[in-house]
Amino acid sequence: MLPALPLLGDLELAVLEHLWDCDETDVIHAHASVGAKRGISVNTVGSALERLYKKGLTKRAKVSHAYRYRPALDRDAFHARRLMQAAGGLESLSRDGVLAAFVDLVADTDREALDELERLVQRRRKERSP
Amino acid sequence: MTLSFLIMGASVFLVAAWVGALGAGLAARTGYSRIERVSPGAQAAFWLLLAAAPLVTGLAGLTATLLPSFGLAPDHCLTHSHHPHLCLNHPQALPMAATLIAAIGLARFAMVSATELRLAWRSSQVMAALDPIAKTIGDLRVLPGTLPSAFVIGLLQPRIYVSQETLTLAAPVFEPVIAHERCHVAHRHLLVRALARVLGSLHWPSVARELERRLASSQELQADEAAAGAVGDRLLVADSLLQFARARVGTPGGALAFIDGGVAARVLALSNDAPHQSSRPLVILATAGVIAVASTVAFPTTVHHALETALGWLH
Repeated sequence: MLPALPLLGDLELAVLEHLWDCDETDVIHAHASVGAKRGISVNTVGSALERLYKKGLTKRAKVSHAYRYRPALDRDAFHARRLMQAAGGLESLSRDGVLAAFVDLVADTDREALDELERLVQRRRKERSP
Repeated sequence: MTLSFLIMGASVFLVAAWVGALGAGLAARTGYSRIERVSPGAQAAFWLLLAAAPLVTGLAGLTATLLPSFGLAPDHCLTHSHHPHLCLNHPQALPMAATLIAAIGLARFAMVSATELRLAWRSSQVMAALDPIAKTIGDLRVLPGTLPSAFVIGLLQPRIYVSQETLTLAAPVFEPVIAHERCHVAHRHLLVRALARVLGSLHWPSVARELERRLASSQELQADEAAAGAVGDRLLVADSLLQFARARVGTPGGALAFIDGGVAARVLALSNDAPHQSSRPLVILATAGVIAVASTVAFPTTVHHALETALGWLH
């Protein structure tokens, strides 16, 4: 079973999105993309990259005197793991009655029953059409 | 106000509440078939009223018992010495039965409330996990995914989540879905269910579970009716339900061969004309409730004596 993905703050997510877009970055380029428009310092963006590294979501290598970061998971893999993580919680919440789904997330219906219900709906439609 | 007075008060409240719970349980049994003739919204109100019945009778009984303490009814204590008294004017030693009753009631209420708080926290955790990967479009949060799905989560600030796949479906299929979920949000259905569960701590556990299940079913039917009103065609909503259910049959874990009573009951309800709007069952229930509560106010001495006698029997 894969370990749970850590929760991320807004800045960490923005930095991760930047990494997915450019595949590799350093603190300066990440700040130019994400930090400048937020009015935050280079050090703050650097701390976010550091936290992402410690959370296992980036890899890094030292080039000259600075680290260059790459994402440890691509965007699709991150979203898929996030959804899988949430799905377990969703099914449990559905069973506990704190989630209302259009079709119950945890109950199942057999094909024959669905076929019969579809035939019923078609019959009703024919009865109502002029 | 002494601790023993508070414990006695709690036990009087609970004895009166359990009488109300008994009445509500009987009303639920006799009302099951009749209540289907009213609109789903009214059905949901009926189940919530039954869930709240013990609270109402508990408060009414406690009020009737306390009236002599405030000079609003004749002094009761000096004429009846054969049972405990809840009285500010004549303090008494605390009977063991009262302590036991209060402990049972408080423990049950604390357990249920703690469960609700835990569930609310878990909901917020799941939403915190979903929000970063969701795109917000109006009041919808769109999640990546190839399975059609839509759900509402959140007690105080409910949110609608739909999968990307849902929005790619034809308008006649996804519009009922969105209308259905918006009804849940507008009527705060999840908060009402949580309230019913907390009120249910005054009921017998199996009755509380049945009331919650009936309430949830009524709310789903109510949301289906809202969707039918929004799109102008009940059978379109039935089609959407079937399409979503069929998509889930093909998923891992979807191969179990039993009928989901929820989908079948909803499709059958949508295939028929809108339920008869008769409100007679609710009028009868409301009248019975008003008579019961009015009786405690009109005959406080009788209620007062009955509750304290019951405590005396248990001692």
